[in-house]
Amino acid sequence: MRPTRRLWASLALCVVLAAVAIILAHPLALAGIPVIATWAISHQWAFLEECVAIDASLTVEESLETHAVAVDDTTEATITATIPRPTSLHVDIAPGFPVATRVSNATPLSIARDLTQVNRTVDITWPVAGRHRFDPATITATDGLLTQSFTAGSGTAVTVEPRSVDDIHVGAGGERHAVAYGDHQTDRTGPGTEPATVREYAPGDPANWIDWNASARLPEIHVREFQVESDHALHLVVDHRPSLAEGTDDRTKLDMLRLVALSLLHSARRSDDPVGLVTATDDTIATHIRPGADPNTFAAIRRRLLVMRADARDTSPTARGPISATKARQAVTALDDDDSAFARTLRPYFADSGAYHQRVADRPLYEAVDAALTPSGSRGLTVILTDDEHPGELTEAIGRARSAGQSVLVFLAPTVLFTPPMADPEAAYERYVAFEEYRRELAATPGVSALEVGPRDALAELLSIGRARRTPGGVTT
Amino acid sequence: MRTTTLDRLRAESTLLAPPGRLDWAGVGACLIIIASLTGLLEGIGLAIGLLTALAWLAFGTPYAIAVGHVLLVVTLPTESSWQTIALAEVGFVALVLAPIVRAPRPGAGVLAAILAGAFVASATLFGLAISGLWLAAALALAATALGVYAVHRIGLVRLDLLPDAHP
Repeated sequence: MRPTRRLWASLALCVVLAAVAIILAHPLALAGIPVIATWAISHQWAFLEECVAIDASLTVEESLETHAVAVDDTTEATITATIPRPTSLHVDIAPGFPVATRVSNATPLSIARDLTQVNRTVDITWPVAGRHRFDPATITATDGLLTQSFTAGSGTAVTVEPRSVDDIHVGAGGERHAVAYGDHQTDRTGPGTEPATVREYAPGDPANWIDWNASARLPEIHVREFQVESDHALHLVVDHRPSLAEGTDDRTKLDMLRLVALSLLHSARRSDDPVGLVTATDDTIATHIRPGADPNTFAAIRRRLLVMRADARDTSPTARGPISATKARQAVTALDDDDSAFARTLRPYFADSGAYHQRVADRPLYEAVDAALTPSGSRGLTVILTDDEHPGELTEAIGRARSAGQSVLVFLAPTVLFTPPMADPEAAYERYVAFEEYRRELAATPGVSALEVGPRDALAELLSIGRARRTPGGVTT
Repeated sequence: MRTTTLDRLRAESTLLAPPGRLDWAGVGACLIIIASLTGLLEGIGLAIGLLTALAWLAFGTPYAIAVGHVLLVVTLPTESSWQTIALAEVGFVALVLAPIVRAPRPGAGVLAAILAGAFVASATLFGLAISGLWLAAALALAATALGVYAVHRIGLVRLDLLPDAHP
């Protein structure tokens, strides 16, 4: 129980009476001290009795529309506080909203003196996936002289699921592909558990390698060698620039690429392979989790993938980034044949090829791949999840990964599948054909696999347009 | 119930003296104060009683007790008999006990008041008996603080707010 200023002032009167008694040498002033003390302690006791009664009988309930929501959903919740009989205390109830939520009105409720119930309906937004529980509500009771806080209510639990996509397509040229990630051979022999070959014993071989069955059948002693199981590092590079936000509310490019990344993470975890994550936004590397095979690393990567959002697109007139490397090369080539004053002025700026590498290095996706592979020197698999908005940069990023000896797997979300509605289906189909050509060009690179990711229904619609263009006579229009 | 400016000024509990309601028990206690002091000191006693009642009305019970005792100190002689002191205090005791009738459990409230009063009064008398005003004042203040703290600790236990001693 915390005394308010009023009670402190009242208790200070005891000190005043003591001073009066001493100064005037009159003991009668001291008689006022037990009287004031009796008043204070009896009020304190009555306040305690009322608080105990409220603590035993007050109920706080949180009722929600649903207890299973998706990330970023907003639900209505009604907070109801009830006491069996009216009280003369001023009672405030502060609901224990989960920390990782946004509430439209989080101010405490108050039960008016003549009432036995109060309720309020609020909107709660759930931006973080996971299981969230309401904390017990904090009850604050006061009578003007004393204040007491205690808790009441048992927390309601809400499960927030990450947004899932049911009709995701992962494949090539409209055909679905299974993406396998798991056990992998090293083609090296040595310590391990998987038997590889049987050979003659050589001086220096460990005695426990001796294969007694083979040695009994053959004239010489033979040993059995095992397959070395190595950790195959998985480097996830996820692009979440503004273009990845294209699509509908629950199936954007990023939503679908996120599912693919989570699936690969799950497979890597089952294989106990190290996994690292780098995410790229418009102008920076937003996340860099170094490869690790421990549960904390997996959990951190999973959390980051679940909460990742595509950055808002900066539509200001000055928000144009540098041109792509491909366009830069095209511009330089065009200048070679131009003898105008304009070309002569610009030509020295394109003469320095070193600037080309720096311009590429300023690209977030390239930087992300570079960061993922630095300083790791181990062979592994680099998975790049992005869209087809920056083809030149993607090509350069793949080249960077290949130069580090990495196998590369690219998941591309074609913009044409996420652009609703298809007002001009023929143009959309042409765009998809162009995308498919680009994807095949990437897949033809040694050590590189490239797959498309998109909504199954949108892809089926585009493919049907393509089939319709092929007449029964085999003529393609 | 409307809360007036006077309600906001007074040092009273909203539990035992709800604002906006006339405290008839308190009014009755004030009348007892006026009557007892008038009987004791006649005209001066009536004036002291009326000033005490006014202080109660304006600032609440503790201020009325303080004002009344200060006025009695300047009026009564130092060597007053115990009957005089008892007659002077009866009204103040009634003023303290009056709001307890509104407590959720009046019996427990009265018992708490009797125990608290007896404890602090005993400490005060003990100090007066063995030494003098200084010790009596110190013991009275210490006993008051101890009584308030004891109820605070009992409250923590009854509301289950104490952390466990061993995890």
